[in-house]
Order: sequence, then structure tokens, then C-alpha cells
Amino acid sequence: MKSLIAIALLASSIFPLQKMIDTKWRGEEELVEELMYFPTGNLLKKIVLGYDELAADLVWLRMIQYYGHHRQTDKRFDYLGHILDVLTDLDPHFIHGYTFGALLLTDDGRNPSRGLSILQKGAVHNPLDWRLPFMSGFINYVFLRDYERAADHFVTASSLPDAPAFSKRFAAFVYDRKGDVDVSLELWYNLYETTENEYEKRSALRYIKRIEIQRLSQLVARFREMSGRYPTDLKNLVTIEWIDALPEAPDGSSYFFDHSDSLVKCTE
Amino acid sequence: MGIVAIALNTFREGAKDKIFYAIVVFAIIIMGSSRFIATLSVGQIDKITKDLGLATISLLGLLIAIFVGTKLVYEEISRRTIYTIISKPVTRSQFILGKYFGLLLIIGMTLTILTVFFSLVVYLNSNTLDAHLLKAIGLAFFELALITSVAIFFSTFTSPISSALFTMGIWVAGHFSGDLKGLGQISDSSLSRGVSTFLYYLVPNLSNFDIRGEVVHGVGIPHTFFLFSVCYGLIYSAAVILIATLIFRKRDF
Repeated sequence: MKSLIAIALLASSIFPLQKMIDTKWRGEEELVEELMYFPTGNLLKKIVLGYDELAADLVWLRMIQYYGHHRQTDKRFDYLGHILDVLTDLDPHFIHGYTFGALLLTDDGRNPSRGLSILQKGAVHNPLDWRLPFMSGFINYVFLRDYERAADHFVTASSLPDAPAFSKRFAAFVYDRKGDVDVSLELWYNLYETTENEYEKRSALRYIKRIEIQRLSQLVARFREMSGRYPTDLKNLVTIEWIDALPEAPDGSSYFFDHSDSLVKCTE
Repeated sequence: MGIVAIALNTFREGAKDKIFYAIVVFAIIIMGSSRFIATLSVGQIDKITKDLGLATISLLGLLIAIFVGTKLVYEEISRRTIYTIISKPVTRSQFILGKYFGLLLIIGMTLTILTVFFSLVVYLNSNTLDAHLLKAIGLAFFELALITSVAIFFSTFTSPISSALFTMGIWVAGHFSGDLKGLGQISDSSLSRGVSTFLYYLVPNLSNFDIRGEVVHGVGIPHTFFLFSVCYGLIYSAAVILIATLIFRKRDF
């Protein structure tokens, strides 16, 4: 009986002990772990004895975990650039690694120059792949608003083998309509429709909604200026032919005017 | 005739080996699990499935080459069945060649089984079959043929554990052969340069057989590269098997 009590006491002390360890030290361990997992790409290349692509896949999965974890917590992506460097050292032909990584570095990491340098590295290894200059054009147009450079990149992308028709369309758009928000919107729509990456899809959806809400808010403000009141419904904007139809977000949610705070919003 | 009989017998014996089935089942589980792993891959299901499948085929083929190859000759000697064999009209060279081709049959069969399963997994993921993957598997076979020759070479004069370690060492060195040359080139000493160049050509250059990355990403592989790599594998293996037969002929039974 005494033994049983002793076992029960010992077992019941494990839970609070582990909980204390997790609370006090786990955070630091995770930080060290992140660094431990990622030596330089060149070193890893030697260690993995020819299985570079498989190692790159593991780094990719780790990067997704890293991104997901920090996106939900501190929104700090200090090692993202390093992880991407390792990933692309191991697998220099991993195009989606470059394009998605550049988007993450620019959008979430707030470091577009690092994003563009990753794309530049990709272009050195894959000079005939249109997706790399296309993403450079995207980042220059949407985030940096450097329309000249964006146009150059879109033209480069459209001239490469297997470039889809939309790359030519954007090359033309950007030259004609520098700074036009419609071009940004179309770029995000294009990304939303073409990507299979759920994170990219989510990002694109967020920006599409943001741009549409901005556009509709401007029209609502103009409506108020002209009529002295807010529209009863966003459909009023269609009735007075300021827009052909009320936009609908690609995920099926719709925009509406919230009278309680006089703001245009999107249903969840 | 002696070579064919020994090869078929080796194949039958090897096919009964439990380690062979364990490896095949393990490979199938890994490839099957790629579907689960790929769900976490954020749009990279095809790439991860193909990378994992090709690496599994190559690595588990290597395990068979090393663990079956290194004990083939040794077991015949330790069980004293070698006396029965060499008392028949079979030369020692035929014995070694028969063992070698027998093991190649086992590896070939394993690769075929795994390739069929791998193709099924790729098809289930992408609804298409990629014939280019066969090129990577084909070159993996020639890499394994080379490693098998090395395993048999060591097994003619040392124990299975030592043979396995030495063969593994050659396999590791084979992935560093490019660095050997690179190290020599940055050295000031002409002796170091000479030694590193000599080692570079001596150690099998296994990167010649690695086109997995190119195949998965659809990067074109010149036919001549493929052909030269196959020739390299065949010539290197033939040379190693020849040395193995010379050593085996000198052994006193």
C-alpha cells in the first residue's frame, strides 16, 4: 500500500514539474533549436550525402512550421531569410521556395529587399524560369511601388519560355497604368487563382478585400459628399452606375456598409 | 553456364532473406506515408512525394546492396558450402560473377517493385505518370551496381561487418569526391594536388548517378550525360569485380 501511495505521489508530481519546465525554459529551448537545425546550406549539402532535395523538403516543412508558429505568436521572422537561403542552397531549382519565400519576407517579414535578393538568387540558378522575374515585378509593383522596375521584370517574365498569357498582360498594364490600384488588385486575383499554397491564397484574399474595401469606401465618401448622406446600401452605387456590379470576394464573402460605424466591411 | 546457375541460386537465396522483405515493406510504408507528409507541405505535394520516393528507392537499394552483398561470399566460406561449389566445374571467377549478377537481380527486382508502388503513389497524387522519374531510378540502379561490386570486393577478404563498414565508407567518400578535387586545387603543394587528383579519380564519383533534383524539377538531362554515367558505372563495376576475382582466386580453401 505504501508503495502504491509513493508511486501515485511521484506520478502526480510529474505533471506540475513538466508544466514548470515548459513555462520557464521551453521558449529558450525553441530559440536554440531553431538555430541548431539550420547550419549553412553548404554545410548541410555535405552532410546529406547527395540527398539534397529530400533535405530541402525537410527544411521546407520546417520553414512552414516556423512561419506558422511565428505568425500566430510574435510575428517575428528573424530566421526566415536564413532558412530560405539554406533551402535554396540545398535545392537551387525549388522555384516555389524562392517565390513564396520572397512573398513572406516582403509581406510578413517587412523586408522586401531580402525578398528580392532571394528571387535574384533564384534567377541566377534558373535564368529561364518566368515565375522569378514575375514575382519580382509583383513585389516591386504592389509593395515597393517602383513601377519602372516592376514593368522591367514583367517584360522579362513575359519573354521567357512557357510564360503564360497573363504575364504579357501585366507587362502591358504596368506600362500603361503605373500606380493604378486595379493592376494591384488584378495581380492579387491572379495569385489567388493560380496558387495552390494556402498561405499565399490567404494573403492574396486579405489584400483583395483590403483593396476592394478601400475602393468602395472612397465611393461611399464621394456619395456622402454629393448627397449629404451615406448610401442605405452599397447597391446604391450600382444603381447610380458608379460601378457595374457589387464586387464579391473570391471566397464568396460579400462587402456591405455598416451603418453603426459608417464603414465598408466584408462578411466573414 | 556456371555464372547463370550461381546467379539464379543467389537470387533465390537472397529472395528468401527476411531483411529483403523488411526493407521492401519499410520502403512501401515510407512512400505511402509521403501522402500524409505532403498534406503538410503547402502546395508541394508532387515535389515531396517524388523526392521522398526517389530517395527511398535509392537508400533502401543501398541497404540491400551493402547488407546482402557483404555476406554473400563470406557465408559460403563460413558455412563451408564453398568447397562443394568449387569442387564442381565452376571457376572462382564464375562464382564471384554469379554472386554479383545474382545480387543485381535481387536489387533489380526490388527496384521494380518499389518503382511500381512509387508510380502508383505519384499517380494518386497528380493523376499523371512522369516517365522522367524512370531515368533517375535507372541511374540509381547503376550506382547500386557499382556499390554492390564494392561490397562483394570487400567480402572476398574480410568479415561482413568490416565489409559493410568499408563499403559504407566508399559510398560516403563517393559523395565527397568532388571536394577531394576542389581541396587539391586550392593547395599550394603539387604533391597535395597530385594526391587529391589521384584520389578523385580512384574513388567512385557517385554524383554522376544523381539526377533526382533535375528529374523532379523537369530540368533537362542531356542524353550523353546519361550514357556516359551508365558507361562509368559499368566500367568501374567491371574493374572492381575483376580485382575481387583476382583476390578470391588467391585465397586458400
